[in-house]
Amino acid sequence: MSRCDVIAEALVMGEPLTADDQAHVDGCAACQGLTALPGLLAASASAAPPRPGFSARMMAAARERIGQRRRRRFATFTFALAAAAASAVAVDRRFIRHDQHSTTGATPPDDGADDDPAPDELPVSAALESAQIDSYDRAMAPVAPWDDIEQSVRNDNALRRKGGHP
Amino acid sequence: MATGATLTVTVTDARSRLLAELADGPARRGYGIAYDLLGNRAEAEEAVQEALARACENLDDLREPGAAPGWFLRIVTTTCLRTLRRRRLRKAVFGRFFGGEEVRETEERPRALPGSGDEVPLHGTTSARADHELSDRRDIAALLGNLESLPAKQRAALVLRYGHDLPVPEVASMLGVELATAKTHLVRGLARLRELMETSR
Repeated sequence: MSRCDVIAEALVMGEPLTADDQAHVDGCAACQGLTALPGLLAASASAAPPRPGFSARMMAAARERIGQRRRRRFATFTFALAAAAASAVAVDRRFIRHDQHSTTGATPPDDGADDDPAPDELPVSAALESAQIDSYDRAMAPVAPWDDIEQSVRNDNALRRKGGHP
Repeated sequence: MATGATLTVTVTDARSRLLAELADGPARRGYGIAYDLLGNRAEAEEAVQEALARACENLDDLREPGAAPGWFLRIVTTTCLRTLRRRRLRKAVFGRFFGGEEVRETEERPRALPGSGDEVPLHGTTSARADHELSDRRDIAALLGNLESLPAKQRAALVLRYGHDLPVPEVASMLGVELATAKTHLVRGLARLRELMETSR
């Protein structure tokens, strides 16, 4: 710790300088600048009194601020509560719908265009699709209802064997 | 047994009493500190109002009613530090994006020097006393300008310690830091201020 540091600390703590310290200050420009500062800082402090009606103005303004904050807090709380309630209702409705569908076995209402077609439309479209067997890959596709197709061919053959015309 | 309504009235009474108590002496003292830290009347009054509102809202934090004035001054100091930091940030942001500093109405006028009435003639005098006073006032003006360049906590520590003659432990308590930290702020602040004063001469 240098002598300058010791003097700075003494200045900060408000301790009087020893004779040695004072001798150092007299010969050190930096310490002279440092020792002049507390006096200047004290002189710079304002002694200007506040404007008239200070206490009343401060009290009124503080009350206004408290009221404003209380209103803001209430508004925030109400908004948060409303948002939470709306979210809860939305979630609850979704669960109720889900429960209804799972207990009755009914399909959910048609919400989008990419849903599966109604069950009664399935056989016709599947049969039409299965009839297009001009390509080998298509014909060998495992998804075709081959049993149905074979059954109809079998019926045709039986009729033909009996001599009737289909 | 106190009912809810009785409790509410009691708390409201305590708040009103505290507000009335603080708005007189402690608020004036707080205004002095805020003015020295912030450098203008409008912001100093705002800081005091904010501190009063916070004191009333956080009444439960006050353990001893006798400690209310010191507690209030601590809130004033914290509010001022926040204002100083916000001001510095604003200046930095405006300086970066708009190539200059934002000038607020309250910051346009330079702070009045202490004793800057008509009693000390600045020009047209040759007396040694007047010259000395003029030199002192120039030094004080330079000091006030240089104080603005210090970090908020160093500035607050110096103003509280020397401007308001508070002992170091009280400075530490008002800044909300340890005693050793307050000493460091003071020593570094003094050293930096001395450098700035030498540069400005």
